[in-house]
Amino acid sequence: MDGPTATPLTPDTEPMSASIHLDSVGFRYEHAQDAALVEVSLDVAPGEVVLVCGGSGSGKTTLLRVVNGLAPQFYPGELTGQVSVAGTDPTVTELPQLARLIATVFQDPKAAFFTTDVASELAFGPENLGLPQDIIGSRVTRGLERFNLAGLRDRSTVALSGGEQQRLACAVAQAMAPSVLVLDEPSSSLDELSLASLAQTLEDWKAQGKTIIMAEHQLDYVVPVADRIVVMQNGRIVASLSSDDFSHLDDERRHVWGLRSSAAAVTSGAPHVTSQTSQSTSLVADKVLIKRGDHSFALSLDHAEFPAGAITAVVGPNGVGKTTLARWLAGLLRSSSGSLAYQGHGLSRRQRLRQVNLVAQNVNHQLFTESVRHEVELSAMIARRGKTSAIDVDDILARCDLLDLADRHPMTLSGGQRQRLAIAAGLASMRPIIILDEPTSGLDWTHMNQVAECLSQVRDTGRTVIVITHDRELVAAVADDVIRLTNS
Amino acid sequence: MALGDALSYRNAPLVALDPRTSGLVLILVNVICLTAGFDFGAMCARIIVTALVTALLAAEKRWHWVMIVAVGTGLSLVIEAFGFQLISGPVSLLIAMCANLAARFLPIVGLGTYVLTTTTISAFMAALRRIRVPMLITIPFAVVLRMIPTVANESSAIAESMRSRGLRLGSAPARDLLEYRLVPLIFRTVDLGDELAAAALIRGLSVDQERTSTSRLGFHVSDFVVLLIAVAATVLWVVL
Repeated sequence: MDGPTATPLTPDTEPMSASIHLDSVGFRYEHAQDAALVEVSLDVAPGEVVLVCGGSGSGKTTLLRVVNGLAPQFYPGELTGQVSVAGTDPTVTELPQLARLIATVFQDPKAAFFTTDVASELAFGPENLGLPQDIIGSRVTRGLERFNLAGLRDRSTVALSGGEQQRLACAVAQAMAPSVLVLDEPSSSLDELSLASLAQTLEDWKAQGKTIIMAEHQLDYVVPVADRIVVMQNGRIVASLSSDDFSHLDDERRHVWGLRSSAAAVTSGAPHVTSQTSQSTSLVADKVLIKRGDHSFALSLDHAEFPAGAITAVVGPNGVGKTTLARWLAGLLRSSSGSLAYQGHGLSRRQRLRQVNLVAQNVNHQLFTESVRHEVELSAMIARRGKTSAIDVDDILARCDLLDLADRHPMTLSGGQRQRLAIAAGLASMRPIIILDEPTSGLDWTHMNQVAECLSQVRDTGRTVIVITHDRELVAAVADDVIRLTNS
Repeated sequence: MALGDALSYRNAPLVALDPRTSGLVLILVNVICLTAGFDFGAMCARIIVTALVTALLAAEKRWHWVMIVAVGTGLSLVIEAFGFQLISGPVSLLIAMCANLAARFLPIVGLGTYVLTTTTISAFMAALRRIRVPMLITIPFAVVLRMIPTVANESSAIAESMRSRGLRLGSAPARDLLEYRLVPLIFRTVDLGDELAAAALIRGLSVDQERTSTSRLGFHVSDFVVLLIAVAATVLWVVL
């Protein structure tokens, strides 16, 4: 009758949750003029969830880097003040040691994956720590199950969807069995379904007593989980609020801090009335069918109209083919079927290459020159070859609010400024149709608004503007018409 | 997009060779293809090697590569073997030279693609560790292997942006086009490399720390068959 009663002590017990203390911390990156952090003091109790928010360049990411040891250990700079995380000083403790205590989920998960397949990626961190094989095996299995990745075990990490990559990034962090979790804008480029799953993961971690510090632009999904919300501006903490107090803030207050409006405000905002320009001048797509390499459909669209002189938003979940539609419209896809007509005339693929301007999702791929003005002039030069005369570069720069930045190198601009520069180059191309793919992903309220303003300037020139976006606030701000793509 | 996808690891390969097998076969195929001549033994070796590479690519269902390697190399070998006797003149000399290059490089490129798309980084690192290569050397090689598809993807995205903006030969000087193509690529590669390094370091990757490996290394039937064929080709070439 005497079976083995004592449960064996598993050496895989996760460490106790731990606290974070920052005492008047300042940080200035090497070669930088201004300090990224100024006199930042923050205490995060064990098991607490703290959300750090603020506009672009407010110091959120730097704060997280000080917590996980990357600043100054990987990103060199001058640090002042005292930092303590889980009982150690992350500014001097070797990174491999910190890896046992602190795990980080990065903004762009696929850039952070070191290996090539899902299971190896889960094993990679624990392997680095030199843990025994059986423990690694059980962590991998648990991670695959918990994050609903079991069917993707041998899948190549580049073949995963955005949502799957994000789940893998969370599973990877959890596989380190950390006591502190650091998340840097984990929701960038997720659709609403994936956001819900991310919120659930945060709830689970909180229930396990993990200490969490995260930076975010999209606030609504995370505010209910957070115990405290810290607002940063110019490298300083300017406010610290409970989750409840934060939800009762009005949008004006949020905007002063560079924060996005609350979801409630966005949905109640009435969408613009469809503009009354004549339908004959619109861009019309019919019977579009585009296949993937494996013969499934990347996009199937029966009929869509985009009015001229108006902004049409194209929305829909991840993987529904929004980017594929943009590339097809721009004439970048060779094998596809479907027709496109502009002002009653059919546009062949080659004609679309000349008539449609695409501002792709990653603007870093499409800025080529040494200054803002040159970038716009390059497009104007190509347009002039097509016998289009009188392109007023200064006027275009002014419309996109870039005149003051005309001599800057594009790579020194912020994300929102680069986006506007790509739009300005699109204007200078003198093409009648402009398509933008996720122009405001990762932008704070101020920059989102500047892009929206720039877009309405583009509309005023009479162009047909198509915006592919997840950003409901942008849709509410500028869209005249909304086309919703569904998976059916 | 297509280029990077074509070069990145694909889901669960049918024939997963041990990276040590892949390495050895790569060396043998390189030596045979680059140095073997036209005598009977050499030709046998080159035909066997081409068939081997074709079979491996077929196992991965990479049909366009199968066509390129099988037809391309086959034709080139035929031209090389008989071409000189049948025709003469400068044009045929040029054809013979092209055939010579194609016959030498197509199998190597085909095998390289196969190895790149079937070897996981974990298996690669585990294999180097098994043959006692220090981490100081393994890590940079692993990073390069990891970055190849990424850089290829970035490069095609930039090319597509240029096409979309109407930047092509004739619309701008070639020197400028080269600059537009390379400068953003360098910026992006440096940024992405930085991000990857930061992420790996805070996940505990280190040159001084003893690493566990859970990668299931080991020689299977397929390893022996592939090795046997490659060695047989080498022996034929040397002996005959």
